[in-house]
Amino acid sequence: MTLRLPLFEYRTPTSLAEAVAILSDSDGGAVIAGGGTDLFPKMKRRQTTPTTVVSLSAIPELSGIEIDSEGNCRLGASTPVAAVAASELVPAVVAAAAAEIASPQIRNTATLGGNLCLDTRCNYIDMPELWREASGHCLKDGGDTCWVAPRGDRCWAISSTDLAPVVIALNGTLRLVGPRGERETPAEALYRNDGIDYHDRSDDEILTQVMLPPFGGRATYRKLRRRGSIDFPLVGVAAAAHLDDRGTVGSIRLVVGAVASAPLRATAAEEFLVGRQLTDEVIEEAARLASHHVRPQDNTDTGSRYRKWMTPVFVTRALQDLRA
Amino acid sequence: MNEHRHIGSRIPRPDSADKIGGRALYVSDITRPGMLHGAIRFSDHAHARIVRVDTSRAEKVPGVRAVITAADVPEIRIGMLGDNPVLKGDVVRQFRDEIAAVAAVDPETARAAADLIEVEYEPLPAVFDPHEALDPEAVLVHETDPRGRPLSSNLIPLPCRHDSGDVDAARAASAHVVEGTWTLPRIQQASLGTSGCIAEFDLNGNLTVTAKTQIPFLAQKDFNKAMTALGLDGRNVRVRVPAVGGAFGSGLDTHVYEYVSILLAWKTGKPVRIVYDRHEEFAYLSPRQSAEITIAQGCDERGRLTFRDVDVLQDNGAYVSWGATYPNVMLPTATSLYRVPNVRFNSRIVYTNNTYCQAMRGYGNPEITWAIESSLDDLARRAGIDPVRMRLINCNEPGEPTPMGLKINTCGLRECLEQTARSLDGAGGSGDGDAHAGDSGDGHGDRRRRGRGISGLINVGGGGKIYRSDGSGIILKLDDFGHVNVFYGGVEMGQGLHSALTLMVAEAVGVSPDQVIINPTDTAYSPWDVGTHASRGAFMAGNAAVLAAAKLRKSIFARAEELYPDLVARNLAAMGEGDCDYDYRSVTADMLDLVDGEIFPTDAADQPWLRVPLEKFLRAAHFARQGGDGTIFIEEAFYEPPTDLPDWAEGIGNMSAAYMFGAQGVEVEVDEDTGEVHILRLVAVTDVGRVLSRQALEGQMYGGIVQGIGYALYENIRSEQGRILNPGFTDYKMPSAADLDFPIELDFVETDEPNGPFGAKGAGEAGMVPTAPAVANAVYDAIGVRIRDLPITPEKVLAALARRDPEE
Repeated sequence: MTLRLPLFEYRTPTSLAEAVAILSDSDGGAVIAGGGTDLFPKMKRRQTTPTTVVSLSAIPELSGIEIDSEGNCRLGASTPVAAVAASELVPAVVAAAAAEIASPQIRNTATLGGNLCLDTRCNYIDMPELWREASGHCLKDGGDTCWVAPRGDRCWAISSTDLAPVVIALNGTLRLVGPRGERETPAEALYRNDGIDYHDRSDDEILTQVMLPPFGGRATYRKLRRRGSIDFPLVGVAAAAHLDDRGTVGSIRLVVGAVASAPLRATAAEEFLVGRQLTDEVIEEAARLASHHVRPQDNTDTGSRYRKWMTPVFVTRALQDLRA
Repeated sequence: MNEHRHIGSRIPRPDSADKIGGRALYVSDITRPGMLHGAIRFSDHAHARIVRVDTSRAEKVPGVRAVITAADVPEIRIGMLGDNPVLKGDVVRQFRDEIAAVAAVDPETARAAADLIEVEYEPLPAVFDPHEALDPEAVLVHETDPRGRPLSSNLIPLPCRHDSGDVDAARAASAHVVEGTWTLPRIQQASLGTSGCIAEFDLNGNLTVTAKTQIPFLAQKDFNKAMTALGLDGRNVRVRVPAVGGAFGSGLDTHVYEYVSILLAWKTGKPVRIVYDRHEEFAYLSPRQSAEITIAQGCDERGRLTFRDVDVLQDNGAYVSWGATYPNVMLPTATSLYRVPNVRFNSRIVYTNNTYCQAMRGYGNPEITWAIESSLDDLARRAGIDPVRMRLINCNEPGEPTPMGLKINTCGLRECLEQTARSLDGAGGSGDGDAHAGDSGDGHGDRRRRGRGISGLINVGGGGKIYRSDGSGIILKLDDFGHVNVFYGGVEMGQGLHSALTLMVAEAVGVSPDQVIINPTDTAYSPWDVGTHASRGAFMAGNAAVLAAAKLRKSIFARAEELYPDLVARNLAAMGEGDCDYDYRSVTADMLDLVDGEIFPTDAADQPWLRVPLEKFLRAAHFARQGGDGTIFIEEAFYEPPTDLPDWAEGIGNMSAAYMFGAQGVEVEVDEDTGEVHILRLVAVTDVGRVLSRQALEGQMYGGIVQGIGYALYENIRSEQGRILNPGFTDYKMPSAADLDFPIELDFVETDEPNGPFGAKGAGEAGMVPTAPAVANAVYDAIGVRIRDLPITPEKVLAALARRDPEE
């Protein structure tokens, strides 16, 4: 019976303004729950013990998918992952990536915004409190040692969102609302390669909407996981490109997820690919460029070398998809 | 072939509706008036001296009714060797050691209070590797035995050896020899229903424990130790078994949490329930233990096995439970799977500061089969003989003695191997590591290779004698309405025992299956049974049922001799018939039969007025007209199989009344880019003697095979310095439904075992036994690399490929 939820206040504001007010009045004691599929297990493990949980489920404007007059696809952050996976309005790659998240039951509950804001994960942090106490609290847990890389001074917890690489590859924009008003940011700018401070978002800011510009190119998401269902990505590669009639790359955005604390843009590979055709040789070199600086740590269920080996394989597969 | 009415049929399981409909009551569903909830404070160290335990903060939590430590309660030592004190007062030897416990009004309060117990430790050096534990300089996990005598080694004094023929001479004379070390990880039973119990005392000091257990009667005996410690010697212990959501061996011993519940109930005077959550189940329950098996096998020029030399090292963990006897169950397979004249078997099992281990399905047999069957493929290739042919050359035959002295009455191994191989071959397509291109259409199919592998199996199928009795009792009680109430001491834990038992009782007594009622297991009214393990449940229950049913039929027919004529006369009157040609007034007991709930003379079975419903007969017998001599029908039987308790130091003895055989064949596709192994199809042909309940048997086979696939490809309790790193379903990888997207083709060979009920052998464990070596042999066939360490993860496959192709 170690894994019981602690006591907390559960709020279901019906407007964005009310939600922002609760968050900014709580002095950091309130957290946002999308579907809660990431948050509640963490609360059971006492990784976080908020006084107040603010559900966004009763705010109508946060849910739904539509195409606006300029052809942008606008997705409310509270839209269930299952609805994204089933949507015909979203780019096919977004639906496909959403369909690869967790299990059907979790997809029904989890939200788009929750997946984009998914906390970073690590073998040593996603443990019950007594386990963490017995081993000594790690950096992300308020301690002073990283058990993954004890000699280092940073946290290596892994960005495990499947949708962030895809949204970044599609050059998506995020809208956030907080006590100081509303702002828009490129999705890429939300993420920081730091396992603790992994978001450029203050505690009282709410991710409200994802905006994907019209996209007429080819895109793909390739996910490696241990099992055919449930599992978080070990490597996730999103690629979105425009190719001309002869297959020459006009533009490309290539993003590698789950190998660092943030989704990583493979800019060197992108620059190399522009103006080239996706031949086997070109893909091999691009895969090398996209992977050689990737340094996955030993903090998933597989060894770090396996994720290192798999990064070029999955970049290759993604680029082959674009060629097909 | 099947001359039976019900045996071999496919009726739905009697327990399934309530389980599916949420009506079945598991421990976690049961509450008692005034019940409290217990929580345990576990150790923060793998090995440490306890300096101080401060419970003062926990005691002050509102809702807490009791806090206990070793200082507050009498010492109770549990386990086969008595080396495990329930609450640890001096030293902790593993991370899951129990230091204190709390009873409170709800589970949250109990847990919160247990977390507030402060423990001060003096850490001690610890040992986690079984090889290091054997070093003469190694830290001792136990400095003394339970009687206080000093120990000088971590080696556990439970010898299990065998040496027959002349292994060294046979090895020297062999044409081909292979040798290697094969390893297996700790894995979890991972039952859907977690562990738990409710302990309660009545005001006379009698104890009732509602327990998720496979051994109600041995548990009753174990709990008597607690009663003695509490000064309640001679009071009664009653063990009741609720609905059990799977156990797979985890219920084969009593657990500390059960004694903690007893102590808390004793302390508070209230019923106390402890139910583990999933984290506790992973972190604080005994898993299957790891094994390291070094094996050498040889053959002559014609492929005939010349010798087998096996050395087993196992990491027992900190305390001895039944896990320490895995080698005893490896022995029948090591000595008797295939015909091998010279066998040496040696085993060592050592204490470490890792979690202590317990039984799980197959109990050593999947481990030894992994080593033997993988190594046998290597030997076949070395000798240039097809792996299937190699097995057929050395196939066991019925009646042939084995080095251990197993008496194999029936053996369908040859048929199982041949049929499995035929089914695999029938698949068509490529094999032998042929490249397989273009099936996925995603542009990289050319790096996928297909291969096929096969493995045989032997398993005990008529009990497994590791205790002084391997018997089972049964009581059959007829009510006034023609129902047979069955009281049996074995446990339905989801495996389908009650399905098989229903059919066997129906068949043996002569009623329809829906007239058979199997009652919950309860030591208060169920007769003694050693426990449900070793594939013995249906075998023992059936044999006992056949004995009791024969007595029951004899009693019924004896009484019917007197009552039958009047009952027929009433039939005739009710049907408006006059008298009939048949002389029913002269019917004697030996002329009567009972089938599907009707009594009739065997020589006139087709005349409706001669058929008397059992229930009418029963009421006539019960409510005798002239007063005074009514009859009710209750019969019991105790079946003790004709087996030996082996001499473990010599490794000789016929430990089972029957041996079941089988084979599994697997076709895999290995992705050489990712190292992933994808199973394309699996064929399992099993000699079960006789199919009893087809639905239950198929369920057992599918479940066992899926556990075998988990063992082969996914599962591994990872630990670091004694601490489990993946105590949950997110990180402990069991195959998901999406990973089982291939056909599993089952077939059964019926060899009609003379010792078995209706010819059946036990079959519960078989599914898991040969799966991993069959998969590994298929991987070898596909890519030419031999993985010797389970599970076969993509990372290991890629590392092995890198060694295969060093220049790449």
